[in-house]
Amino acid sequence: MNYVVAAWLSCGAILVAYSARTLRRERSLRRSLAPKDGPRWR
Amino acid sequence: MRYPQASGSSRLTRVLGWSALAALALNTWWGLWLSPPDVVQGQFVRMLYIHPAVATMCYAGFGVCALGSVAWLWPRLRSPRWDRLAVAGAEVGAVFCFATLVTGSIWGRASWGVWWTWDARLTLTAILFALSLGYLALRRSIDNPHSRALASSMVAVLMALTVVVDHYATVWFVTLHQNETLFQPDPTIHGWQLATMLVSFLAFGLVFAWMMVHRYRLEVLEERYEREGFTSALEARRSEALPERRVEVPAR
Repeated sequence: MNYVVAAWLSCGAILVAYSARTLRRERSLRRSLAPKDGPRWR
Repeated sequence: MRYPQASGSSRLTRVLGWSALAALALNTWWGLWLSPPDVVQGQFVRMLYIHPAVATMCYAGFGVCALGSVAWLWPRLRSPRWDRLAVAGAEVGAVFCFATLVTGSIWGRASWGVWWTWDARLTLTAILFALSLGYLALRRSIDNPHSRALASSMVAVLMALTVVVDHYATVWFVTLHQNETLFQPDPTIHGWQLATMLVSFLAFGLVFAWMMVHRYRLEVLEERYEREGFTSALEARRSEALPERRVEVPAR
């Protein structure tokens, strides 16, 4: 059963890590591209 | 004028994201608790509810990459959109390929007693992963967008061919890896196991779609950032080149 748990956890960790990285990059770029004197973030 | 939001979510990504989470929760519940152990594999059958679906999404990613690349190579269809789609497919495909290798290695250790063996299916999947990393590295090394798209399209076509050989590896070569479970005239899987496996395909399919949308948007933002960064650098350089206005100090 340990192998099963290891497989599920490793798969989840890889997908969560990549999703988090993509969202962080997207958020960072959106902030960089915002006009400095423009409206506040929603 | 539309200002970018800090959050990259939209109705599409929210629907996709929540559906993916719900399907993943259902897959975990059915896969780890409801589905019975297998007669031959025992509890190890529970890896069936992640590994094949993840491997299929890996193929789907590289398939989308090849599709985008071929469309970009086609003169009538050529558009930066296809190139963005190709890079999104390659990156998401590489992530799923890595997950396939990791989960497959753990399953191999449980079933065959080894973490890795130079079996045709395993080796070809490793080659596919190496090719995808090469594809992503190649894109980073070329600045010119046209040359970048052209060179990476060639690698994408090579990856698509490797996907085909990898898929049929269990038929064309003598391998340790088992043959197809689902897509055959008389599937060897029934009842809860079949239902859970289908849910796993749905769940990882939704995760794949969510990742593709976000990765595509990221590519759009990166292109815009490069363009605007270049424009502002150019303006800064021009302003430096202008002759300075000096205030003349009257002589005494």
